[in-house]
Amino acid sequence: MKVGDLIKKPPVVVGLDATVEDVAVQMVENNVGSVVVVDSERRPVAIVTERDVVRTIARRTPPTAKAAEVGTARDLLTAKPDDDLYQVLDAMRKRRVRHLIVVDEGGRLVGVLSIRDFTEDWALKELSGKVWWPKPEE
Amino acid sequence: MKVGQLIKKPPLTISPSTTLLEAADFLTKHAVGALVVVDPREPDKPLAVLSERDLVRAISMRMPLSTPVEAFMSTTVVSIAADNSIERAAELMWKNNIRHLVVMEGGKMVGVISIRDVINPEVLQQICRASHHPTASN
Repeated sequence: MKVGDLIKKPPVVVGLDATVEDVAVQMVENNVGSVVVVDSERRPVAIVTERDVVRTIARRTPPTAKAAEVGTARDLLTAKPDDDLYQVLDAMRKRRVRHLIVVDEGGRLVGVLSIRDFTEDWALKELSGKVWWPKPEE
Repeated sequence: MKVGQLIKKPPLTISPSTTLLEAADFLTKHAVGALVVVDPREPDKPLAVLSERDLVRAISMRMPLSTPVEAFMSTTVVSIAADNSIERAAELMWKNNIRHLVVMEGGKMVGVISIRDVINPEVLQQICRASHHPTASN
């Protein structure tokens, strides 16, 4: 099973100027736990998660702060649609992230997978089958 | 393997009068995604679960962060019995679109499990073993 098979809907994105509040509104309206900040070429610049929004509150940062500055902007974990599910889940666990940015060959955003997408029954079955096998080469 | 085996520590609880700001501080301090709201006189009885998503909703609505959680929390607590299966836990998370379940035993709250506890290679391996050897006890 490939990463691309789990992508169900278009990713929720905001532009470089978006604020934390804009991101919160997008999360609620689209019922998602992360929003990707993209540049004009639709390349991911940052990912902002619910946890980032909560941390913003805890740090007393105003909700008018730029979203890209409160999210993860460096060293983003990305995958290609053809990547293997087990390997990307392994990478997500190692990085302790719940969201995976999926990009095409040109680095443009294709979708976002959340850890929840792996709890769908068939995904669990697929993965529990895989853990029997030797660990894929890194 | 049973849900109760996934519990690592006692649940983190707050009272209904805790403010949204205090809840954000508590979530950040403990690096968790959800808190259980309880009446301090009945700490075993979950009244609600306050998650990161609730705080995102508060920000999106421009709700004052001095609001007590009781004015905001959803009182539907999705719980699971400690002797239930991991598969059932994954199913409940998926169907309810949530990342945390309150674990109950003998009418009392004994812990909270998160989606990360379920998506764990060792746990998946246990599930796989059980489905290959349905009569074996673990």
